[in-house]
This record gives sequence, structure tokens and C-alpha cells, in this order.
Amino acid sequence: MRYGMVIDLQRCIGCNACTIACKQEHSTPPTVFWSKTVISETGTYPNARQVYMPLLCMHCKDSPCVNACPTGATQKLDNGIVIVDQSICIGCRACMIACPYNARNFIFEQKSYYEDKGGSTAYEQATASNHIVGTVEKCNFCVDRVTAGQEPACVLTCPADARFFGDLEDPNSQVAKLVATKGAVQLHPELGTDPSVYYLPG
Amino acid sequence: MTTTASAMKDKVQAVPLSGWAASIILTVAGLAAWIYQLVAGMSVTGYSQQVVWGLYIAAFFTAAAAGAGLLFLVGLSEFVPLAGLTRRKPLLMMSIASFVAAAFLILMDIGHPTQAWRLITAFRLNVPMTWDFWFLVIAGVVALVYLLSAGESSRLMGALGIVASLALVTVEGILLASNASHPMWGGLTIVGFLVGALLAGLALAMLVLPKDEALKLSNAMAWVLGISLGLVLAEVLAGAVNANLHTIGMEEEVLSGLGSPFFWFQVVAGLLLPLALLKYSSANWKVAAVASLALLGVLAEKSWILISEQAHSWVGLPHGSYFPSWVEFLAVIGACALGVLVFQLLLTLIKPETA
Repeated sequence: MRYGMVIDLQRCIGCNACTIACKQEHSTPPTVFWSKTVISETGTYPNARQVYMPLLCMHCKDSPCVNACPTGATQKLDNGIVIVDQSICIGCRACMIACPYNARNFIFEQKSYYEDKGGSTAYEQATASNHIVGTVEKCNFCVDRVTAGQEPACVLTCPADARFFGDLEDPNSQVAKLVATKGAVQLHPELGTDPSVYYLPG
Repeated sequence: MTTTASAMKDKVQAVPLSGWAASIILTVAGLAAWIYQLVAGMSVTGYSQQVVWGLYIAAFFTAAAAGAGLLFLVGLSEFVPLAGLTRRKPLLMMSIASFVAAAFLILMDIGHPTQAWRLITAFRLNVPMTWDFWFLVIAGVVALVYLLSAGESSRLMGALGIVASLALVTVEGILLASNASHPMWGGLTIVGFLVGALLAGLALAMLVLPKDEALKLSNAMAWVLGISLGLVLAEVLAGAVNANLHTIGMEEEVLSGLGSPFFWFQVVAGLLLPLALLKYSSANWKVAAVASLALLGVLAEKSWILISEQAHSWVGLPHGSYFPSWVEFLAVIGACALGVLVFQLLLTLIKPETA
């Protein structure tokens, strides 16, 4: 089994609903984005347009982050999902250096979104222990939801139905079919990481 | 007492009180900066989500390189007569002091230092950082045993010193070069690290040895400075002629972007100026100036190599930003002062006349 995602760039409208759904699901602190959308411009006026590039951990088959972690905090599960066990992360950030996709986040400090409005909310306080200061974290494909048979939050939330999730090794899965038939591409395959996130060109 | 040892006793001065005071005050200041960082979080550094290795790692590489360079030179002197390198003990003391400073610098850099012990227990041999850690430990132990057994020529310890120092510096080059995501870190980086270690080792030797002996290292220093200059130019030119867009982006970061203050500092103050001083100056302070500038040049080189590569993203993220914060500067100065303090302690505990 190898969980993977296909993102249809033609459908993506750059609304960042995935970004917010991810923050909501994982209560990530300020400056930390497990999922994000890079918006850039291409062409020149009057033929200019915006390009949306949703980014998250690529859960690479040959993960450079796993190979860089000196303590084993970054692990690859049997289902292909790459996770970080923050309890044994020393915060050396070698994984961030190794990751070509800037998918990883360092927790610089304990910070609330509401510093100027009375400090942490009850939700932030309840979830603070999920984000250990001085360690690295990243998208885990909502492993708890997936294990419970649900889709990752970003997939469920996407209003444009641009995200598809499933087992890349199951030829009958939607993601495997999209990869096989729609010309899906990986980001920077030349780096040899074999990402599990594919993009359908926009 | 041998003639050499007798001469050494005459030349090596006891550490003056002001020397102790300065190193203790700066060490305490550096520790205070680190404690502040531990309490406030690493947001007090200049790091961002994109640039996560900066001055601490550059200083760590420099300190490890200097310690390894010294160990290599002392080891080599067992086999080849090296002008100016007739005494081993003070140089080995400084080598150990450099390794201590390097260890302290890496501790300052990691975000969760209370978990640092896991580096020892995890023992993940497929990870370059594991090798780096253990080779640093081994080089430190070899230098210490070498120091304690010095006094007479020891070819075995010399050979071990050469192997340990080369292994440490090579692994640190590999630590960077093994990242496919950073195309400018490659084989040339490893060669640059080896030359940098020699340069830093020579510079420390010139600072430790009495002036007349340090002056004998001038020719070697000039050669290594020249080779380092050639390597830096080769590294930049290799990137410039590469059609790879990512590499060209890196090139811009080095020459005019985030890494440029460090790059130009290295070229002008860390390479050209010491070369000019060696050639044209006869001032009293020449040796100290050349050695200090060369050391700072090595630090600047590690800095631009690290920073330039991280500033540029593969996935179209906004340009990264980084400049060391005052906390980083103070903590690094403190780590260096700790190294000096260790050197002074060793100098006091292990009498020069027994060298």
C-alpha cells in the first residue's frame, strides 16, 4: 500500500480552503503551514494570469528527510505516509535541509494567533502539546483520519474537488487511474525522491 | 629536559589574568545568550522556515575544521618535517579546545537540546549526521590521547590524527553534498572543506605559536590561501557556466543576494587581504592579523555556502531571508571564548615543559 494524492491544477482556484482546513484540523501555530498554496503570475499583460500551486509534504517513496534524520524521528509507515515523532526530534533541522519541497516547519516558539487579544484560546491550549517547541513537523496526510477510513481534511474541504486521495498501488483506485491516464506529474522527479503527490497540469 | 622543551618553557607565557577574565566574561555572555534563546525560542535567531542553518552551523563547521586541521598538521609533522611545527602539545590543546567549541555550537543550534542524547543512542549509520557526530567524538578523543601521550614522537598517534581529522572533515562535506536538493553542494564542497580545514588549522597554529615560529608558517599559509581562492572562484565559475536555472539562481544568491555579504567578506578580507599582508607587511601584528582574517574568512565561506543554497526554493516560495541576530553573534563569540578558556585550562594543567 502506498497512500498518495493527485491535485488537479486545472480545478484548483487558489482559495486556500485546504490551507485553512489543515490549520483547523491540526491547530498549527502561526507561521506554520503544513499545507499551503503558492500563487504566482505568468505571462505579460494583457496575457497574464495567476498560477496556483498547492504544496504539502510529498510523502516521497525515497524520502530524503527520512535518510537525513539522525534520531529516527522521521519515519516512513508501511502505508507510505511519512510522519514525524516529535517526542524524539532533536530539532537539528537536517530534514528541512534535505527536503526539496520546503514541506517541513520548525516550531520556533509557543505562540498564539490571539497574542493581542488575551492570548491562547482554549483550543490552542488544548492542542499546544501537539506542537513541541524546538522540533520539526509537517503534513502527515491526516494519518488519524485516514486510519479511521476518512479522507484528509484538505481533500474533504476542497470546494473545487481538485484533490483526490487513495492507494497509488491499487490499480483500481481513483488516484492510480488518474496517474495512469491523465498525465499526472511529480514535482522535480529529477531529484529521485519519487513523490506520492501528483499534479494534473493546469 | 630537552633543548626544545627548555626553549619552550622560556617562550610560552603563563596565561595573564586579563586573558582569563576576557574568556570567562565572553563565555558567560555567550551562555546567557543561549539561555535567552532556550527560554524565548529560536525565533530570537535570524532563521525562518526557509533558511534553517546559519551562523551556528557555519561556526560549528569552522571550529571542527580548525580542530581537525591542527590535528592533521601535528600528525603530519610526525612523518614530514614541517617548518614551525616543532612543538605539538600547545597545538593539540588548541585542537581539543576547537572540538569543544564545535560541540557547544552544535548544542546551541539544535532546537531541543534536552533530546541531544538521542544522537548517541539512535546510532543510525545510514545518516551522515550520525557519522559527523561520531567522527567529531573520535577526533576529540584521538587529540586528547595524543596530547597525553605526547612528549616524544608518536607515529601511531600521528597517523590516527591524520585519519581522524580527514574523516571528520570529509564527512562534513558529505553531510552537505549528499543533499540532492542543493545542487551547489557537491564534490567541490568536500574539497573546499578539506582546504578550509587546512587553512583554519594553519591560522590557529599561527595564533598559538610564538611569533618567530608562526612566521615560518607564512609560506604554507600563502599557498593554502591561494588554493582556497582558486577553489572559491572555481566553485562560482562552475555554477556560472551551468545552464541549470536553479544553479544560476544560487549563483545570484552568492554574488549579489543573501550570501553575498559573506562571500565578498571571504574573498576580500579572508583571502586577498591576508595574502597582501603576507607579501607586503612587516608589521608586528602581521601574524595575528593574517591568522585572524583567515579564520574569519573560513567562517564567512561556510556561511555563504549554507545561506545561499537555502534562500532559493525549488517550489516557487518567496525568496528566503536571513542575517544572524545579535543572539547568534553573542552565542558564537561565547562558544569561541569557551574554546579559548579550555585552551588556557589545558595550558595551565599540562605544563609546557613536559611537552
